[in-house]
Amino acid sequence: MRLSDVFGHLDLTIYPKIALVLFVTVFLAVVFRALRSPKRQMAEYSRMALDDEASLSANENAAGGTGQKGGD
Amino acid sequence: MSPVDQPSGGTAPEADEASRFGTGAVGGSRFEDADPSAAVAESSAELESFTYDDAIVRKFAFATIVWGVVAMLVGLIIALQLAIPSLNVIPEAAFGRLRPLHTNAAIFAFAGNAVFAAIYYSTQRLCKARLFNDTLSNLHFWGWQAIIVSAALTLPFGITQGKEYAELEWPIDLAIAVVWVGFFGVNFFGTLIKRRERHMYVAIWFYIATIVTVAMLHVFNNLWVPVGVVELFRTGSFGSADQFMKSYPVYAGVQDALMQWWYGHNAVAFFLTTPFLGLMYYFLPKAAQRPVFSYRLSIIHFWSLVFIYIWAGPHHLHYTALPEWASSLGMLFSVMLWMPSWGGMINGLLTLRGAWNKIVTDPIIQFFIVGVTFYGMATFEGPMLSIKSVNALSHYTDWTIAHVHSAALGWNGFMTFGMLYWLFPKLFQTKLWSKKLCSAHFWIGTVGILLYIIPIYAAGITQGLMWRAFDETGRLAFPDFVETVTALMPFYYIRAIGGTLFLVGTVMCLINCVMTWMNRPKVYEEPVHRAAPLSKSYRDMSHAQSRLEANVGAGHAGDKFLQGMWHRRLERRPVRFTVLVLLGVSIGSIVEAIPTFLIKSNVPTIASVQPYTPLELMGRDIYIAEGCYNCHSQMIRPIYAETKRYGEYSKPGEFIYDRPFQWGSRRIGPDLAREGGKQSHFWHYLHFEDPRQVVEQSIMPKYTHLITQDLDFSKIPSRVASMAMLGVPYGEAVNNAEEMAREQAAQIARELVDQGGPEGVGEKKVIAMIAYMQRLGTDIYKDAGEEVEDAAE
Repeated sequence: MRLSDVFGHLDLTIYPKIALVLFVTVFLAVVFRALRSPKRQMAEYSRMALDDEASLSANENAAGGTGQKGGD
Repeated sequence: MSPVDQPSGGTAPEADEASRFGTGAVGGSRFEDADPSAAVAESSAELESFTYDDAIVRKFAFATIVWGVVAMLVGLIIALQLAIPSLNVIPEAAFGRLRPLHTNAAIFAFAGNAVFAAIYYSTQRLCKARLFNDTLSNLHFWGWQAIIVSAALTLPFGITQGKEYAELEWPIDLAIAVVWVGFFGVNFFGTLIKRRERHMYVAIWFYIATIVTVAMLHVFNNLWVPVGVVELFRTGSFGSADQFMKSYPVYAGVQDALMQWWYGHNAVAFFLTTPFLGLMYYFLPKAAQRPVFSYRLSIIHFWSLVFIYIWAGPHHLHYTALPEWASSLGMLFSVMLWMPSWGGMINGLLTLRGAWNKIVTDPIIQFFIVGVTFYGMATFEGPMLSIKSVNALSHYTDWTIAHVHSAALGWNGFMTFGMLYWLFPKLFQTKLWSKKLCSAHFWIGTVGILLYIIPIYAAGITQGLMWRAFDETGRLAFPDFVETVTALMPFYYIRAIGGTLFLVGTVMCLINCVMTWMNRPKVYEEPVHRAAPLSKSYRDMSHAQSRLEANVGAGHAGDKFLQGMWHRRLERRPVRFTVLVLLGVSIGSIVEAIPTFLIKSNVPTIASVQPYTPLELMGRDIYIAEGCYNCHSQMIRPIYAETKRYGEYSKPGEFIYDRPFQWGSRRIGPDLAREGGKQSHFWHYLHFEDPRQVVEQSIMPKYTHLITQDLDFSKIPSRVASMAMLGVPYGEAVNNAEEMAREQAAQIARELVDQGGPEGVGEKKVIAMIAYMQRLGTDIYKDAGEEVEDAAE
């Protein structure tokens, strides 16, 4: 028996249902993860894009700029 | 490696300073779920000094804007060619060849360089680490530009795979794989590995999804047999450039269509959506000076999008020969995709809460807000278009073109411009040359988008309705296809005006960029930053504790799961995170692809369907090289208006020798699936010479070069041999391909003369094209026995 024969006997109409179940499972897991996270932690993470700016100002020239030729 | 990337000697007392790197950050570990002893160990580590590589960001930013102008200029040219066919002056610059150049330049050159600029700028800062390797960065930059140039040097010369957005031929495909995975991927993941910030911000997740998924899509959609290599084995030489570059995909017909639109749809998802969402999550908060609205929502947004998107590809193939279950699956997931997409849009828009006044005063915010709004519009429209009944009207019409451009110009374009205007002063370390010009760009660009998409929406709906209109006697109201084209001319003119405005705006951006660059300092400041490395001994709190007092083991396990620690740990582990993303995108691919490839019933055999003759195969290759698929479909849907207009609907078994499939996605000209035998050879000859000789109002370019250029019969045997390698049952034709082709060409030439055509064209390219045209869709009307008889002869 060939693999194509095995697959040929599968009921493919069930595939969209399997897909839906898979998605709902993943979705629920992710929702749980998101909702169960501590509020402070979420607030901290959400500021990360802004915090790297803070790190720049805090550290500018901390150890002396190396300089890069302005030509590119 | 980084020129400044070493311990600076700072120790524990400087941990206070380290904590200022970020609120709550203690030497890279931020939060309470770290093992306290490990966190202390990390905070007491020596601080390392490092700089960011902004030179590479400057290069990608410049390339973005320069290629943007090129892509949009080519777009304007092809828009004008539709309105004024005489602008198709030379074969190399005809619509069919320039359109792939436009799409490739817009996607891979303009958007691609923008993505690289965004990723390289933000990843360094989010990871508190210089890019992994400067040499890799530069190899990535120059390698990618070389790929773009090679696209510009091949597509106009008809060197193409003939698959939308995957036109580039196999040597360039190999280069893309090397640059994407070997240079970009290694550089990015290397940076993640040596980062000094333990938590990976959500933008980084989107970048990871982009890199791994695009690599997967590219590899699996570009599996081919190179004709040049077959030629080398047969003759000892690679042959001419176009012969060397030519390839045939390992997939055929329905399978090729499924793979192509799995790729095509997800190229939109993972090249034009996920990296731009990463860009949004980083640069929008920057511009607004507000944290992202909801980090929780961004988590749901990310995983839902990554998991759902990959399943949605088959919605591009509704009512085609694709199996119904695959089509339904694609529709279902496309509709579900609406929710995470809008979650992302809402998250982006609400990031501006408390800063709404900036919408009026800050052109950068204006670009971002309009960009995110277009994302919302496009991601509402996309699922709507995937619903079969809507798709029946919209598919093959300009509606799709309008949808694509609202996303490309509005979402990708405006997010890119917003990012560039935000970056220019930082990259060039001076003020933006002209805020007024920036603001003017925003307004002219916005008007340009509207003038582009509104008429094209109207054109698309007009087309769709005209194609399916019947008169009171039950006959097609517009039986002459060209009527449905000429009705669109006013819309095409307005679209060209919109495109011109958008291009003018992009040139304004280029001017602003160059002028800002000219005001740069003589020497760029290169600040040195310091941060503690991630401790190797760092441990998360090893396990969440169950909060349940009396319960069974499963209850305790469930409670630990619900506390979400597992995911927070995951967000700090790039390799595991990447593996999970890969798993997420693979599931949908496997579920859709494997049955289609393995089940015989998906592609029922039709006994009378036979391989193309050697001459027809060569004609088909010319059809592909000329880019005919950009205007003509070869797929009659089982819809009454279509079967009435074109004939019997297309069957999966008819395409088993089509490598690549040529179903197309758009009908500027009529469908050709049943073209064979509808017209005489002479009609086709005249049509190629000048389409207006036989269809007065046709907008098709002239193909006189097919009549003047010789057909190189010596190229045919290697092409037939390549097809035979892929399992096409050519039998003896592999050894006699050239003779068979010459014989059939002579016969067609004689028939052409008998019909009143000219003499002396028996060895011209037009003969191969006529042979192919006359074969299209005729096999199902033949008797299987007749075919066997033919073969025996």
